Parts: sequence; structure tokens; C-alpha cells
Amino acid sequence: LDEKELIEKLCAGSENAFRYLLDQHQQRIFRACLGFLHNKEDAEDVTQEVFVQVYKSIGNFKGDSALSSWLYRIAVNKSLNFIKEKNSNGFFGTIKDALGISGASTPHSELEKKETENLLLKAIENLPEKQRIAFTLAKYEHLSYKDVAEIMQTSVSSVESLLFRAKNNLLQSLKK
Amino acid sequence: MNCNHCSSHLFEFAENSLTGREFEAVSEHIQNCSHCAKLVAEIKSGFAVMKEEKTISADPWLQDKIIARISTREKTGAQVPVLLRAALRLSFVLVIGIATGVGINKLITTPADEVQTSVANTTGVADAEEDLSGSENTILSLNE
Repeated sequence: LDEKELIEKLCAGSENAFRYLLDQHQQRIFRACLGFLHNKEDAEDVTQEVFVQVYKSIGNFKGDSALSSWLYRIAVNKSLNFIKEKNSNGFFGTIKDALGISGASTPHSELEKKETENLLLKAIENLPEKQRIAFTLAKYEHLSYKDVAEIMQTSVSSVESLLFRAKNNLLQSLKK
Repeated sequence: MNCNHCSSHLFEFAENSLTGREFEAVSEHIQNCSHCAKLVAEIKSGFAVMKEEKTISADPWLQDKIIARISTREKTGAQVPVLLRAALRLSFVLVIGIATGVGINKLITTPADEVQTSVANTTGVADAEEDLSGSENTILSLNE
């Protein structure tokens, strides 16, 4: 099944085509979400949101970029929005946290504890948004600069510049 | 090599992507500079956590959950507008009915049958209230 054929079938609402899409991309999208969220349950929730969004808006996909780039774009947006929502709980979030009903993910595995305590990961979280996206896609996902540029809808030289600035900012944070 | 020059290569060094003279120069500097050595250790530890995290797989049922969510969405997506349309139609009929009733009452009311009309009005209002509360229940159950 080539990409064009797959998109046509998805637009026609074929469940088999949607299952094929999930087989091909689900794990990759889950890992991309995990790269931003560092929590398995949150990454699974956001992965679900990504594919529901894909199902809803496949008709809007123009095919200007690869399907996988479009999926990554949705995953990045959903993951960052998830983080923003989680961080903007504010006063009510504090009350919920105090009552233990926040539903916020707390580290419950050794790895999640390491993630929370790791200085580099903390510094990545504090990077400006575009630098964070470029750094995570390039260094966590090991995507080529060309792929990162396609996902971010920018040029390769802009990605190089974002990564250069991201590394400098990370070093400054680590030096503190 | 000084710290400034070294720090521009620290990420590449931590990722083992430096080669030749640059690799040797950074290695030598790090052996003699605890500050840069600490930075390399932090970066390496971050990359190690990322590598470990990449071994996590999604729940094997995730695909089924996504398919189920889409199926549910399709079903409710088709039902809710129909029910909402029905509720709106019902509300519209009720509003027109009440308005017409009130209008007719005003037209035909005379001092002689004021008492009777007042009883009729009360019943009408009570009926209308009952209808409204009925429609409110429908909306509540819809929302559920």
C-alpha cells in the first residue's frame, strides 16, 4: 500500500487503512510524544488524541509533505498543548494536588524518577519552544535535519541555527 | 584548548560523534578540567535516560483503544445532533404554545370571568412549568 493509496482509503473512511496506518506509525508517534512528556500513560493518551485528530482531519492533508511529517507535527502540537494545559492548572491545580485528586502524573518507576531528576531533561523543558522541538526531534528521535525541517516547516539552516542555540542554552542551564 | 572552545564540542563529545584531533583535544581538556568533565557527565546521563526511555513500548491494546474511541465518536457524533435538534424543536413548540396561550388570554379576559381566567392561567402556567421541567430533564439526560 503506497502513501497516496493509503491516504485515499483513509479519506474514504476505511477501517483497514486506519489499522494499517496505526501499525506503521503508532509506535513512532508514541515515542515522539514520550520524548516530550516523559511519562508512558501521558504519551499513550496523547497518542490516542493524535490519531483521533488524524481520523478527523485526514481530508485536510494536502500531501505537501510526507504523511509521517504531518503525523509528527500533530504529535508535537498535541504534546506541547498537553504540557501547557497541565502547567496552567494554577490555583485549582494546587488544591487538587493537595487533595490528591489532580490526576497529574507522578513518577512511579525508577526511570521516571531519573527523568524528573535529570538536569539535562529539565533544561530541555525550559528551552524556548522551537529550540525544544528541534532538539527533541534531532537528539531524541534521531531524525535528520532535513526531516526536522520538514516537520517544523522551515529550512535546514534554520534547524541548524535552532540546534546551535539550543545547545548553548542547555550548557548555560547546566553550568548554573 | 580552553573551556569556551571545549564547551562548543561537549554535546558531540558526549554523543561520541567527535573524531580525530578534536576528540583527542576535548578528551585531554576534560581530564584536566573538572568543570567541563561535570558538564559532559550531565549530558551523557541525560542521553542515557533518553536512550533507556526509548525502549518503552506502548500498551499492546493502544491500537484497539484508538479504534474504539473513533467508533464511539462516530456513534455519539451521529446521535447528539439528532437529539439536540429534537430538543430544540420541542423547546420552540413550547415557547410558541405559551406565547399564544398568554396572547389569547389577554384578548378574551373580561372583568366577569377574571377569577375563572386566573384559575385557568394558573393551571396553564403549572402545565407549562411541568412541560418545561420535563424538557429540562430531557436536556439533562442528554448531557449525561
